[in-house]
Amino acid sequence: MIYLENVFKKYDDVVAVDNVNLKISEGELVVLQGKSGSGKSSILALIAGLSKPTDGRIVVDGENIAMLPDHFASLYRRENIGFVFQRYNLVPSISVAHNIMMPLIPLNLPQDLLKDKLQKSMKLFNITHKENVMVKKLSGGEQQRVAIARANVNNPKIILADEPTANLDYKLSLEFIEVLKTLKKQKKTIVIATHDPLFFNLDAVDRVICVADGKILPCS
Amino acid sequence: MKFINLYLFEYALEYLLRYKGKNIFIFILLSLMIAFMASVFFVSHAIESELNLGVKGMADITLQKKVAGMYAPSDASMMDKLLEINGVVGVESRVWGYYRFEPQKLNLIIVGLDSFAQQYNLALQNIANTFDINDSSMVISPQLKKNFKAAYYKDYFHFIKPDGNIKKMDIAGVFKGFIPLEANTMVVMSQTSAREILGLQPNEITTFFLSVGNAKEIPNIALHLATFYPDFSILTKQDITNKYASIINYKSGVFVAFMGVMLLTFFMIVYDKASGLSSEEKREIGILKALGWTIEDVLRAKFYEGGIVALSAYFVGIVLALFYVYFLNAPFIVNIFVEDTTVRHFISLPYSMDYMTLFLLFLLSVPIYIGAILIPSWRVATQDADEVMR
Amino acid sequence: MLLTPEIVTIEILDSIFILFATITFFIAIYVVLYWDRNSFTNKQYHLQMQSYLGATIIKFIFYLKIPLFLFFVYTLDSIANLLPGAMCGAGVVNATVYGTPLLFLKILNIYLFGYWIVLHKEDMQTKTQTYIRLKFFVYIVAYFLLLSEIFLEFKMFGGLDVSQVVDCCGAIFSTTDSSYLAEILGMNTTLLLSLFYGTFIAMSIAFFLKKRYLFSLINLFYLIISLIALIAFFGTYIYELPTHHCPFCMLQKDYHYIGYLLYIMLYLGTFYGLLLGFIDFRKEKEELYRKISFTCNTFYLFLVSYFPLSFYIKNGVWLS
Repeated sequence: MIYLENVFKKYDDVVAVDNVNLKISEGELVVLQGKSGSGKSSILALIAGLSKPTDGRIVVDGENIAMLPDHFASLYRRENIGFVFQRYNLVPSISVAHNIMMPLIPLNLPQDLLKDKLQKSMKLFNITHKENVMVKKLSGGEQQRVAIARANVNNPKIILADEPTANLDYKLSLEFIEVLKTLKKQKKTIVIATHDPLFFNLDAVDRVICVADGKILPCS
Repeated sequence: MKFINLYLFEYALEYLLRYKGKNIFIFILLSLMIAFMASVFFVSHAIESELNLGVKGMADITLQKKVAGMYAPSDASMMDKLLEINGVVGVESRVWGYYRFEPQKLNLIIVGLDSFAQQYNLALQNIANTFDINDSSMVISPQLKKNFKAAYYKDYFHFIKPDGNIKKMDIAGVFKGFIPLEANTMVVMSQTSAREILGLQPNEITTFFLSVGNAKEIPNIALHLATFYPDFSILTKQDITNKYASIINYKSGVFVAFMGVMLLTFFMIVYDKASGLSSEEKREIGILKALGWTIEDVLRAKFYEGGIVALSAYFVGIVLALFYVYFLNAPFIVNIFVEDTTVRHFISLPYSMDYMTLFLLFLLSVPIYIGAILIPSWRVATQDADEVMR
Repeated sequence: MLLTPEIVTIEILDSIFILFATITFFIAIYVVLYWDRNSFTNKQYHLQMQSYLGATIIKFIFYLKIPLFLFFVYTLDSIANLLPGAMCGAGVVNATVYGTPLLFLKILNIYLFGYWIVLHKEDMQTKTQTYIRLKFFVYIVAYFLLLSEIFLEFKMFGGLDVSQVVDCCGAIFSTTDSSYLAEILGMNTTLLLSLFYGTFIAMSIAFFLKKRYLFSLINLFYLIISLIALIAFFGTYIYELPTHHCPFCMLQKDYHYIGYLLYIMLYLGTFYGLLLGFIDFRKEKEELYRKISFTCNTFYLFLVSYFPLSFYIKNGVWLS
């Protein structure tokens, strides 16, 4: 359901993504493996519609999102993508609930519907008991769960995670992997960009794709 | 409720509270600006309505003879001819003039009343009824009482007649609660004394006041008078109201034009402040876009923020102005409209609220603020979300 | 030269309009010339971002223009007290040669900018942004009209002279002059009313037959004939004076500000009606706008007809 066809991405003179061809099926959990600067984060950004390719096509669910005007790209992202960032990127001075509902604010949903989505997501990631606590008062693991709850609140089809375990210890990393399994059970398509070896031999992972210098190479 | 997104509103409010510092400065600046503008408008309206109240007490038509372009006395016998004009139901003659009192640098307004005649001006009528004015006594304003005292005149005053002789006038009393503002250097006495002091002949009078039965006839009669008495200056009540209105409008207009400069400066300050985003703020907007907010959503949030700041500053500014004008009696600003410093102290500004003024103030503040944040908000909303990925 | 706070306020806001409108003008030129949705260059990306700025500015101008227009009407009325002879806004408009074209341009621009807003909404709902070039081209035209309007506004306010006597609406809209206006206003009442109600009937037919272009065209006629009929006939029943033909006086307190309701209804009705001829809407939207237009136009018709009818019922005769 996600196709990258002959995708190039150039930032000024730097080629971040070089003639990438990639196909990800629905429900797959794919790991993009590569060190920093290899282009894996750029690939995620392209799938999310956060940036447009310099050349090539990015087809998600039959639609070439590279051709979408900015406001449609944002709508696409809102509907289909849940993003987990490397540094969570939560707003520390507001509550857990307010952080999680951020993607829903522009939708202007009726109150009960919004509450429903919020509760579902919080429950799934076990953070309901901290609903009204300010995020900066949470532990690392709890913040991580808030970040994932936020990514999932609108029930997106695709979850993208960029170096999700970079700031976590071993125990929390394992917790995170459990969370991924939960998401996979819900038939979500998951793409993780990471160089954490923990992911390379997981059962849950369907494929590992190696990325270096913007190209996809066979893994050695 | 689909037009307002309450969640977005709540988010905007929270955002403002989170980045208080910069916004508080703008909020205070905008409030003070609005308070200042509002004060000027409130004062000008108050003065205008006070002046117009005074005009109400005036005669319908005022006639004064002019010779060589300057006011000159006319013959009292004209009164009969004036009474013959269709529509005129009454004519009152008055003797009045200025008397210069150099030691206090005052221009006294001498008003000569004929105690037995009906006065048009209710306040003057009051004086005629309350005080017993004879040919050697007069009634003065409270301000004048102070002025005379300062010149060592306590119970009487010495006028210097045109022929050089002195006329002593006893101060029979002090009148109160007088409008218009000129009343503050006014002296009321008998017509005979007034003629003596002003150097007029026994049959001479200064002004005719005409009373017209049907107010709608006034312009007609004024036209008639202009035709038959071309050497007279003819003022209707409406003329005076218009004159006041245009002076006040002019002063207000000049003030607003001056405000234009201030608003421009304000515009630039806001533009500058709104453009300078901390890296935290940039990151937050970047996150929102990554989460699926469109550029329009971000702009709408910024618009809500701007609206909250501008509208609250508007209300605070209006309240401050109301307090300043009606409780503190607007020191300093009153000077723009009333130049005579001795008069200033006596102005109690009556409460008069014109709703269009409030709308005008709104137009001079809120759209300008929104305009100032427009481009900076757009810059913020269209920034690359890539930053967030790092 | 007249300098009241209201005038200065309007001129300050006009200056802001000029500033922002000019920025958007340049954006519009770039979009019309260089827009290429198939290009992934930086230039196209920046152009897209700038198109958002342009749209935001145009929205700002339009949404500010509406209260400002009402404020303008109020200002005309307040100036009327300062100009000898003028008893309502009509006298002020007629005091200079700029007044009438200014008023005409103001109304035209409200239609035009409103049209732009709707076009923009439609454009933003298509993934290919089919109207982007058209809408910015329309804006370029609107820009020059806006500049002309502001120029005339400055000229008009600058040319007002409190010492010059002006005509009041009784003189301007008299039916006894030999002017072109007087001829129109002096038109045979039967003919006038037949045209007015006849146009409405034609509009109703077009409405029920769902003929979009016809409906739109008839709306144009309806606008013109309504205004003429209002000044020449219906207005006299609002004022209950057969010689009082004035489009402004009905906006005053004496007549319960009924003018505002009438004009707003007429504007909304004809605006949505005219829209249908210019934009190809989806079926649901087209029906919705057609209904809004017809409802407002009908409301206007009933409201305006109420006055002569109630007069006749109360008094048993028609005026003159």
